[in-house]
Amino acid sequence: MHVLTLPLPQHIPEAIASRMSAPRRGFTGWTRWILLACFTALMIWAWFGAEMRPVELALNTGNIAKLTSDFFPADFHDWRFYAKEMVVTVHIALWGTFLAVLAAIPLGLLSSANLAPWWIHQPVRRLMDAARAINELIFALLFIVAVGLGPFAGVLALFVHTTGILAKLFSEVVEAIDPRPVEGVRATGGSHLAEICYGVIPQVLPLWVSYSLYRFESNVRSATVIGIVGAGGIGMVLHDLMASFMYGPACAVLAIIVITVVAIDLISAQVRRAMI
Amino acid sequence: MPIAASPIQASAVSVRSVSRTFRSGSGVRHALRDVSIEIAPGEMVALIGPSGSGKSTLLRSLAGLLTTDAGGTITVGGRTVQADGRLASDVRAIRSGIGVVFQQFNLAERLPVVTNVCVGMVSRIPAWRVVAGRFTPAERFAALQALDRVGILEQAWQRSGTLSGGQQQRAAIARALVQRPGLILGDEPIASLDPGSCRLVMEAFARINREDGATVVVSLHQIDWAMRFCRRVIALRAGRLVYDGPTAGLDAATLRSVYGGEFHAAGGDDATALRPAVPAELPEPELVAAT
Ligand SMILES: Nc1ncnc2c1ncn2[C@@H]1O[C@H](COP(=O)(O)OP(=O)(O)OP(=O)(O)O)[C@@H](O)[C@H]1O
Ligand SMILES: [Mg+2]
Repeated sequence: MHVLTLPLPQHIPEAIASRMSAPRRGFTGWTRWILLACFTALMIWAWFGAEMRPVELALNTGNIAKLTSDFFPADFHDWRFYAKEMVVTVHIALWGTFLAVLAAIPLGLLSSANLAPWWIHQPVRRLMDAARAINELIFALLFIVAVGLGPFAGVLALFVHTTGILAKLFSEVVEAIDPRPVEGVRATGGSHLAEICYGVIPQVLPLWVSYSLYRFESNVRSATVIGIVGAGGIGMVLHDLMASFMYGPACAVLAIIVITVVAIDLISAQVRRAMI
Repeated sequence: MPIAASPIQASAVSVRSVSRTFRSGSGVRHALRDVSIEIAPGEMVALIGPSGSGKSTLLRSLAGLLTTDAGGTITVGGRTVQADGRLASDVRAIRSGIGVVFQQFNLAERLPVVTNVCVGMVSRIPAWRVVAGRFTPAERFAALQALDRVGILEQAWQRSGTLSGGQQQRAAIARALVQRPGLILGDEPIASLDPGSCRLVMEAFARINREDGATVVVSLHQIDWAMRFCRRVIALRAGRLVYDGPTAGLDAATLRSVYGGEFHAAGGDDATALRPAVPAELPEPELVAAT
């Protein structure tokens, strides 16, 4: 192969010479060391808070190995029941996500700074922050009190938490749109509604669909967890099995969860790819 | 054969002592300084001026997309678009009577061309149909007819983003056409197009002006297009009106006063020498027939 090397000239003008390497940005000198010291102090403090005991972990490997071996062989005797409960879990995720998407469309538009005035988008954003900040597990505990044990409490928990997440994601997409098509609609005398339908939505739709599918995937995973506190589905089964030391069947349940979650992730990822 | 349209009520344009200042962190920019213009119904006017002279600011103010400073008034077709720095309360209704064609087309790229054209009619249809995207056969027909007039009927159901620049700009003109506007504004509508597309787009403007009778104001970077298609030229420099008169009156001295030193290098006192990119002699403006 023929390689051309560009020679560096003998004389480099000062204006160029002073710009030959990238200027140093960010933290320099003392600030850098102080930040490093702060970070180290934080991690040491957190070490005690988290009661980190690596030595015990090493000493207890025997126990852990014993517990692990109790899970095998997996006991698939009741697999029909587990599969049925797994389907219930997927149903919880489906409705939780669907309701969240419906709510996140208006709430996402209302929390976009380029569509709504500050006295609307700020309060809506704070409300969505709250919905997002509280884990779906905690919402599940609350809704179990409100509507009783079972899948419906799970649906409501996922609905509220996911609305908070999707509204934020949706509004971030809206705030990144090209304003020109919107102005094109405005110039024809179109209403706010027309600007949104023909200027905003066509631009954001692919990403909105993609985010919704992604949240559905995560919600299938979350739905297994909220089942553990009594909000229905496979999680509840897993909890009962573990509580009665039935590790073999619990292992079968875990296997079914893994297979389902992986399968849904794969399918959903395919659909998302096709969307964009 | 493309379909000709019935004439419409052309709008007069009146701009009275309009100024526009932009305040940014560093300082104040006078985009328009005490500009007054009167345009009669049915005129076709070119707006010229160097970059940053205030052309877009003026056109956006005319379209009711931007407010001006207190003190000025803009009326279109006898209706006040804005006065004293405030948009009229019925500005959306007024906008529906003004078609705007932008340099970057401003179409929703993912929607079919025909839907983008139908958007020109949304100000006249009920909200539920706006949301549902339901257009009546009569509305779809009007949109297709407009596409036929600008010569891109073939592309009606293509995604707008897949069209060439010149085709997208003609789709944008069709969107303005279905508004049946008394005034059409073009903000450098040909600045990002190749010469062939420039011609088709400018011919579309000329034809709307001639056949429908709409008033047309179009800003242009290249003076030769202004000379070819418009009888009257309005020139801005640093926000001030520096020329307003017949295209024929644009001599080298005037152009130098508009563009400053930029045109000194271009040639002597012969105005034609100032036009380096004069297109080959074009036939009398006539719209291509979409066949
Ligand atoms: N939103 C804005 N904020 C601050 N300054 C602005 C804004 N819009 C325009 N200006 C300034 O106003 C002046 C006129 O701008 P305008 O876009 O109207 O010029 P133009 O004649 O259309 O230029 P071009 O030919 O480059 O499109 C410029 O100095 C510009 O920097
Ligand atoms: Mg401009």
